[in-house]
Amino acid sequence: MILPRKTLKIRYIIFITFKDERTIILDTIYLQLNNSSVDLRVYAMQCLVETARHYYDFLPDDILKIFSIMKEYVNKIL
Amino acid sequence: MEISEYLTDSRNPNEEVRKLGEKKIEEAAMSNFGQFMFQCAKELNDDKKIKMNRQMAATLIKNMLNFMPKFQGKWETLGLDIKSEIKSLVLSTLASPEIEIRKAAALCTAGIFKLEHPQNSWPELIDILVETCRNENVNFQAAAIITLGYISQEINPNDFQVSDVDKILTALIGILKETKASHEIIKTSLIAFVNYIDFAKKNFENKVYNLYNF
Repeated sequence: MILPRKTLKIRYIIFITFKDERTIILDTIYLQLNNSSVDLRVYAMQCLVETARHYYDFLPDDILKIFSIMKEYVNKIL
Repeated sequence: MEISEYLTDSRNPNEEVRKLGEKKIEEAAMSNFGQFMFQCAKELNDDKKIKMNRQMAATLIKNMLNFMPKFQGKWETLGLDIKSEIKSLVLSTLASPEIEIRKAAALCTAGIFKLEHPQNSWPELIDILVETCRNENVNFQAAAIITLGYISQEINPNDFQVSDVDKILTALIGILKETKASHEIIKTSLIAFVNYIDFAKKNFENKVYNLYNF
């Protein structure tokens, strides 16, 4: 069956996502927290500690995620 | 002036020889500070010279510029030409094949930048280092990242231009998100990144969404 020409048209919907700078920085730290190398994870953890030390008030959206990461780490140690 | 000889003497285990070497170094620096700095930069840059002397030359440049009160203000009195030559020699040493020399040059670069930054006399440095962070040569890349890390320790976060912080963070994040980056490069980047978190106040406070080229 030949479809009418109109229906053959493909419409592309392009989603452009904009991340705020804080999210980009935190995502980078989260990425390195999952690094397979232990010492790199330690450095990433230092980044997270430093971030929380300076910008704790700006982290409410991420605090649950940070908590779950910490919980996972503590569980691994225990 | 034979700076190599003085540097070798200042590392001598014999106290008498060492003290004489140190005295000669101080006299040389006092008599013509610009020329002494230039000779030290040349020593650091010369691959044929003894590694320990090259490291010592870098330490002397940094310490005389940043820590020794008797040499305070001397750098500012030097002519633009000699300062430019010294900066060029130190910066090109970042490409040294030896890691210890690259680190010494990185410290030296940060020390000079500390003095040049208030007058905005080395505005191109951050751009050069950020660009080198993307260099294909891993040694050059690592040297640039280490230098950026040392710079963060020398400059007060409030004195750093927001645009420069953005460039540095963009470069470091670019490396940290790079899947092919080596362990050493990621480690160096994370160490520098920790230092720059203090500089990222605007990035955390800013509610305006910006498009970055990550």
